[in-house]
Amino acid sequence: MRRSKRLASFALPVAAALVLASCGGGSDDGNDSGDDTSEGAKGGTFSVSSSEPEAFAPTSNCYSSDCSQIINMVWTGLLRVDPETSEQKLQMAESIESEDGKTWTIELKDGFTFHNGEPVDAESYVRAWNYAAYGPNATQVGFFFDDVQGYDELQGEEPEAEKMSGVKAVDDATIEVTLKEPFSQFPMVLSYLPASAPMAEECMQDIKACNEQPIGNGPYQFAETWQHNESITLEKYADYSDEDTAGNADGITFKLYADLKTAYRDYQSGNLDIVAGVDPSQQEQAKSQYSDNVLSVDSGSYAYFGIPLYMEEFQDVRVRQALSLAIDRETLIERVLNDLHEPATDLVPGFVPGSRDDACEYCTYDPERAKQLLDEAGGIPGDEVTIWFNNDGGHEQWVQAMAQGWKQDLGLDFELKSQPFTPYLNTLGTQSKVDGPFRLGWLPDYPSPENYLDPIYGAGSSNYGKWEGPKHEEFLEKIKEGNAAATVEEGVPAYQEAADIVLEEMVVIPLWYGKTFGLFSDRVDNLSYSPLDQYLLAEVSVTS
Amino acid sequence: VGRYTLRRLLQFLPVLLGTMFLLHYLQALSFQFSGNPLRAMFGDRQPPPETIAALTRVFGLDDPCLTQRGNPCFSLFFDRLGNYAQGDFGTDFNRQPVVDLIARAAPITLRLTLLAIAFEAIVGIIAGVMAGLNKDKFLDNLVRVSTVLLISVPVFVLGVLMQILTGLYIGRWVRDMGAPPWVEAMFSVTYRSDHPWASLVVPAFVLGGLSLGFIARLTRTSLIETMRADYVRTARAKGLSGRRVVGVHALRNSLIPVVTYIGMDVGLLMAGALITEGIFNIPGVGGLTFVSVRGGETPVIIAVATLLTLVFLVTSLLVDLLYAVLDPRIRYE
Repeated sequence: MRRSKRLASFALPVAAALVLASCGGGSDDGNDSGDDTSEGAKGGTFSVSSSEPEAFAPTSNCYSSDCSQIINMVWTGLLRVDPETSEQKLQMAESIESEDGKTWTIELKDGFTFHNGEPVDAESYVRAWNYAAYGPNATQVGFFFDDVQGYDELQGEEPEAEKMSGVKAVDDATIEVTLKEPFSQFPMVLSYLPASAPMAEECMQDIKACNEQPIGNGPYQFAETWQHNESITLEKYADYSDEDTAGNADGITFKLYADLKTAYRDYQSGNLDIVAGVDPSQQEQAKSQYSDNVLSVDSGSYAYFGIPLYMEEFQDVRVRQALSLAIDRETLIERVLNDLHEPATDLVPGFVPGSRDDACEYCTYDPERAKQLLDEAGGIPGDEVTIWFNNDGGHEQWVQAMAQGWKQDLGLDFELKSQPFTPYLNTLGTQSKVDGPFRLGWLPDYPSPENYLDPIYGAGSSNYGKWEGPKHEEFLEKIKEGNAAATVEEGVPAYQEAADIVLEEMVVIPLWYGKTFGLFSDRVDNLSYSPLDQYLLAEVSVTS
Repeated sequence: VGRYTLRRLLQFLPVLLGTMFLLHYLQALSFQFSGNPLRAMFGDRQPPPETIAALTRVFGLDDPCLTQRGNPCFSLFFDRLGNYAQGDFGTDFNRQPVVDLIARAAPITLRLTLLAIAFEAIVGIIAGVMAGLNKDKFLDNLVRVSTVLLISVPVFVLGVLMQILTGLYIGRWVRDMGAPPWVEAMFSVTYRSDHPWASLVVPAFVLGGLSLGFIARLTRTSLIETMRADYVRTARAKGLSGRRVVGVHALRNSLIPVVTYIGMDVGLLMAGALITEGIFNIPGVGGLTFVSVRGGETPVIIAVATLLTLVFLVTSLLVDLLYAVLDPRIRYE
């Protein structure tokens, strides 16, 4: 099923703290970066599975994993964030600086060209960003620029302006961005490539043609037009001028599958090199048959059950704690979820700085304490809970198993209520209709605890359970404190305190962190995955 | 025949309009009750209202009637008809023109359908005739047992089994043997656009399997019945050769129900090769329908369904006209 879509964040305005603001000359040209792609054998071609992508031109119409995976190969961004160190690595940008956090000056590196030969200049960025932000174009990620001065004038059916007053190309190599308010982590916004990728003049002239055969500025270019529902073939861009981000293989073919299960069989028959995500129903078999060829690492996803705090029966914190204590996460993962998750011990997965493995007191399985807490709280009226989830994401089995656990340990009857994703979100949005715990998940954009906290529990969009009150205020204060710190590391203590408030209050029931399940053939080597950039295909080398 | 055809063609119009309106209404209801389908583009997150509003406008879903439950949204429907008249069939949510989507998917499904029909008709009728002429003998029993087997195995089981057998086992072996590329494509796990016919042979077999069973049994029963008819006895008494009696006199008449069945099947196969297409990754109409229904992409749903209705109508007309060819007693005024 296609629910592997990347749920990219827009909650960047309060982004993670970064070194960048003080990055000074920022002229690390990448030669000294540790994880560059120049190791490994060059040449050869390999194939990767994908679903039919959404769009490539404008890139700002891409908001899911399939298209952004390919955009990451065909475009190179101004900068990227290293998933392990949370450090910024400048790519197309020579420097990104600001004195006051409000006016930003971006200097571009020299010598980069689009695949059609046009130079990658300041105008190509300004063009792309204005297009993205312009309301009538209705791009999906245009709102990434809503902190920029003049963004508001571009909204609505008949906007007052066509260009953001806050974005200017000073000269060919310099972009000046003025924000509405000082915001020291603005470069984070730019690290989301589909939103910030430059657009060639030729592409602007004919966006439709450009969508079928994109003109990027990255290490790979389209070798032929997009073969819809069949394949996308990339070849190395000969004039790519950056050694570090250049790819190893000569070509990559994305085979487009309507059903992930077919990809696995194609892999078995030797027609596919990398399965980017094996269907859950085949994971068991794949694990036993190809154990040496599985890539299972943190995917960055985090699953939880939200709780409708607006309902009286869930207002006692002991009830929420009891529900969490009565979930045997380890057994569920082992028996029902193919061992592909890790029990949550914090609100923030392990790869993010400041993640702890013992932060969540009520995330262990302790049926006796759960029962005791529930009894103290006076139980739940009618001894029955309604459990909500969406029924098109393969959740039914484990939700049922979890509910059985509640029945067995807490004596609670349950009713399962499920809807397809669209109406489900709609129902959650109208609140009051949801009368019991509801399943949700999260995928990050950048490795900061903030990205796992504020959007879910803050004033942000996904606070479906309507958490409010003094504790909530305190939480928001702590987040602000963390955001104000100069780096992620310095912000960690504040973020941890914020997380502790959520965990003590059990605003949600944390469940587990997700893992990827990728398969690679013996023909390829050095496949890795980053929760932010997905599969790092430029680094893959072909061995035979 | 001309006037009859014309009258039938005129009847297409209300059927098509009715179908379109029904679909339109269902889609409007679905929007009114389960909410804006564009919302799902953003996953668990709630996008800013101005983004949703802009998208909703671009896809023409900003009509206030879509927020009033039960409102049939006539104005939207007539707008759509107007656009269709001008050749504008709208786009899907990835902003791909619906015409392009259909133009890409339909030829593939058409090829698959042709192969499947050819397969089920030829093999099915031959098997049916052989069984019918050898009633209750070994050959008859063989056909009866094997067709029951074919009919009772669900398509997805047959599909996956065939895929594993031909794609994985035979396919590997064929590749190791160094067979020509079209043979390799024939034994591939998935559809390959560089071999648009060869790689559809196995899927066509899977797709036609069920109907093959029906056709063989229909032919058999019908032939046995006809062989008992007076005119066949007369033909025999006249001293005609057995081949001529069966081939010209009996079979032609007994094919009427079979032709009806095949005609219906064309429509069915065009619309619903969904499972087979899914298993073999064939980017045809079935997949297109499935994806657009799941995403609530009204323009695609209506265009595809209308096209399929048209296919049904045309094939049923052709079947009716064929009756006259097969049975001279049937006349159209």
